[in-house]
Amino acid sequence: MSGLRASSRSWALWRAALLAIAVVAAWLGPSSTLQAGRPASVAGADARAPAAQTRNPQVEAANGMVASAHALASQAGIEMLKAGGNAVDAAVAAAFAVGVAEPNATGLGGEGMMVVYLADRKTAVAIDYRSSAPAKASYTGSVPATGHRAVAVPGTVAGLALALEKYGTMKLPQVLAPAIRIAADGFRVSPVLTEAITENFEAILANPPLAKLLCPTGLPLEAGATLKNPDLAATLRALAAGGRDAFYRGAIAETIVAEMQAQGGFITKDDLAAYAAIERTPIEGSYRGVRLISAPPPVGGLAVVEILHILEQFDVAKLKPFSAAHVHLFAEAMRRGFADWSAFVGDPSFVTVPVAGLLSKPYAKARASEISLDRITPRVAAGDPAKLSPSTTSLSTVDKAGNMVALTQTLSDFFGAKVLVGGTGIILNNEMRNFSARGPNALAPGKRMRTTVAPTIVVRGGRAFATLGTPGAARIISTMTLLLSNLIDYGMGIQEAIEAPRFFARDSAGQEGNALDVEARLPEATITALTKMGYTVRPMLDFDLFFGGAQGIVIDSKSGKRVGGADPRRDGAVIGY
Amino acid sequence: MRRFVRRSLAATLTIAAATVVASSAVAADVTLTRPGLLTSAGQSPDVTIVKVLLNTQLKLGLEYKPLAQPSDLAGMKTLVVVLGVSTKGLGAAGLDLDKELARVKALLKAARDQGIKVLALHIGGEARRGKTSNDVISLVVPEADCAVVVAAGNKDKLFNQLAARRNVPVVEVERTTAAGDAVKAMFR
Repeated sequence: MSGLRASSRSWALWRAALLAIAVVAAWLGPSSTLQAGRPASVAGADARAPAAQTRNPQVEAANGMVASAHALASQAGIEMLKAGGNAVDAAVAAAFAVGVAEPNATGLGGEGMMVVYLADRKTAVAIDYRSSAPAKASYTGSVPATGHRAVAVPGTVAGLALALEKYGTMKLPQVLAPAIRIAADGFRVSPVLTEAITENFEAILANPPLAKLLCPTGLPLEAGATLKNPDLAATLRALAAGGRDAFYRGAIAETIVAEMQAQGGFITKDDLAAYAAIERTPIEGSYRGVRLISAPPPVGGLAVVEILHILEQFDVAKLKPFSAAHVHLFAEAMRRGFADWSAFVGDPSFVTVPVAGLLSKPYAKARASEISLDRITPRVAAGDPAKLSPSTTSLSTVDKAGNMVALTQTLSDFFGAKVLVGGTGIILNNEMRNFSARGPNALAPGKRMRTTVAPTIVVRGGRAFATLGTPGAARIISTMTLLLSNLIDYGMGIQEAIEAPRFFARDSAGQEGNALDVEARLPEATITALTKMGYTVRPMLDFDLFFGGAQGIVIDSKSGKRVGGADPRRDGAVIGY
Repeated sequence: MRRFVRRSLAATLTIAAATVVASSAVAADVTLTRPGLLTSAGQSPDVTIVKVLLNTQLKLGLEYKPLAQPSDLAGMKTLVVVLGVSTKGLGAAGLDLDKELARVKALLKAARDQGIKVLALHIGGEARRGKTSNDVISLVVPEADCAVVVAAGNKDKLFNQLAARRNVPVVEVERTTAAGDAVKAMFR
């Protein structure tokens, strides 16, 4: 199928896997419960999962599991599970911890969306802690990519606190303890983090507090260096002592507002005090009999499910994985999902999103009928769902009871607005750039901007089966589609599904012609055939973090084992017990 | 298995020895003079880091032109080329890889024609390897008078293999700051 199985690479791949295990084990110390698994079957029961050689090991465990973008965050979550906490406690602890250990992607200055599956009730809830527009935000011309005027009101603290209060069993001081420890003691800088700092070097240098943290010698921290953030440790301690109000009404709020006033930002004391996380009903769909529960508008779950509904009209399993026919069909479906998402999705508190129409099977059938299997649609327009309608880190946790959490958080761009609030260690988001000039995603005071995050939970046969998510900007939607299809259509193991080659296509807006971004290890014959069809194929790296860094856990329906995978494109790590 | 280990060990020792010899040779044989021009081959942000390292911190005073053309070499004695491709960087500069390779090729030819010494510098580790970066590295290193590489980007000893064709000395260092020190030591 892919280069993953090439025998000439197998020794190198296994050496890399063993090295990765050794590195993670060294980070975690002697009490680590990391299990280096042989490649195992995901679907287990579901039997078709082939053994595959992967860069990262697939991990199995009997009780609980955390898959996140950093080993220390996964360890934080596992600490909670072992102490008797549930999947929500673990997710919140891991989310705070990853905000310290992956400062490029998430943190207290960011936002997110969480989907929680409650095993005993067989229901799910979404917690929307997306950032919101400050009341006084307005721009002449485009929204800046960096600086204080790019920052929206952060939602991370409110969202994680709400999740813990309503669905967790522990208190903030307990779940914050690992994050405080990591911030105070420091952690080893990975090559991925070094690359993120390097890519944003000039913008980081423009903000002295951020530069002091990430470029203490004037140059980017190199891989292997230790990054400590004592100011952030102090901020986290203040949260542990004062709860969410310490952030939105207390001393931290005052520091943020003072900085905004001094630097021309929009966020006021009232904006912070008014912010609240919102419980929403997740969107639901189905794919080949499997129930999909994903993040609702204003984010990307709807697009992922719509694309899968379109693909369901075709016999995907009969297509050779990563053949030209496979890639072309998915590209066409993705373009339609993106076109509809762009046209119809906005903050549901401000606009009516035709969710039912977009997710109806007749609508998917109509969209599928537009697709030719041997020809590219020149330009994909949004459909008309109303006819059928009455309407950037990710982590996953599973506990012993089968509760699941899928959570995706972000600062928008790496290091967000490239602003660190002096004395707090908090890096602020640049979410304001995600508003559109017009349409359902146009800027309004207090409105939440549209993004693509799509944490998703899969239920099979009435029981929780998988929790998945990925960062990756617009590629979140394509990557989530591929992950779910890899699991469901091709019966891949979770690690194999995560590592399989990725590609990305969307509607023409913002893309040139028939652009198709692919990982370079896609078979050469596929790239040649797609080019002949008229695609402008743009090969990226073999494993390119451009396509996100997915994490996922599945529950083997026969053995009940938790089986986890993490993405080698970033610093993903799975730990179970 | 034993044979494999023996062969691997022998190959590793040979390359390591070559690198050490080359390092000694650099100290003895490669002398760079100013004025010098600092440019990128691949438009990665590494060139900005090198600018801060060599100019702000080590005060080498190189002229900084990431998109230097042959005409920019007038009066120069040394050309420092920072290797590594960034798709984002190329896009921001309105270039694709073919255009960038053509620009760098023309620059190298002009440097050679004018007797300007060329220093190839790679600080980006594994993130600046892979097909596109390898294309740039393969173009520049054999044409250089010396190559300085941070070890994480030379695990497969590609730099040594490319350099061996024209006996280009390779200095392998562990850290970016050490790369700066190595470059500074060459400038007289």
